[in-house]
Amino acid sequence: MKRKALILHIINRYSQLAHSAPCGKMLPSQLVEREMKLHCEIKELEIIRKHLDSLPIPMSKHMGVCLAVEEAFVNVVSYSGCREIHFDTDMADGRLRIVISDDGKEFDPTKAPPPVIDPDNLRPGGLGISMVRKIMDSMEYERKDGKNILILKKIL
Amino acid sequence: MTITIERNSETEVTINIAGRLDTQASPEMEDAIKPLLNEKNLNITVEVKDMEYISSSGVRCFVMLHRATSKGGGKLTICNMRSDIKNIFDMTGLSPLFGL
Repeated sequence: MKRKALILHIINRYSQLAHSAPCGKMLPSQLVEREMKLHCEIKELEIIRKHLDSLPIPMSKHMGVCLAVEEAFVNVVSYSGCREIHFDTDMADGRLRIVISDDGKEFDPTKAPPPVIDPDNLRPGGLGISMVRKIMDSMEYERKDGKNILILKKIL
Repeated sequence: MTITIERNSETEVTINIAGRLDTQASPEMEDAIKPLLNEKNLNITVEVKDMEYISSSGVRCFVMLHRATSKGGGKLTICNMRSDIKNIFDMTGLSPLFGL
């Protein structure tokens, strides 16, 4: 009986953990650092998605973070005309910081006007950037050494 | 993403979208809906219960459908949207346009 109770306890504990567990295998408090060099191509989103899936981002925030990162990356690919995009992630104490930098033409998305909510006149880039702004806790931009540097932060 | 378009009658079409309607998948949806965009009095029902993700480019496909149906005297209805996907539509401010 004791053994059965122990097994039941383990199963219960495991299922509790499984329900509260983030998407990745690590805990949100663990330090994760990763630097990636990507081509200026939309298909690189597949690599980014796999990387984000491996991070310990809570389920409830995972889709939002993926969406914000996708929109920010697509914006760079669409408008910068750069050769290469650096995509750096660091995560510690439940704080996610993503830096997207490129050597393309100067563009500050934090200054982009909000999209026009008129179905006949929806500007191509407006929606994506407004989504990034709404999902992330902060979106900062700097132009340094001929590079666009976009810093996205979110508390998880 | 998988998209299927069924014509129920001359003026009734059902579009089923399942999976991820992201930046990579949106051109496929644009191509699939293109033949419908110039039809008159077309009522389009989009079934999205199995849609798992949508990006701004996907939302733009829905805007194209809305624009086409309203200009042609028809109607666009979106059915069974998951709450997490609706949150994304809400973020764009376009939910009222689609009756969401």
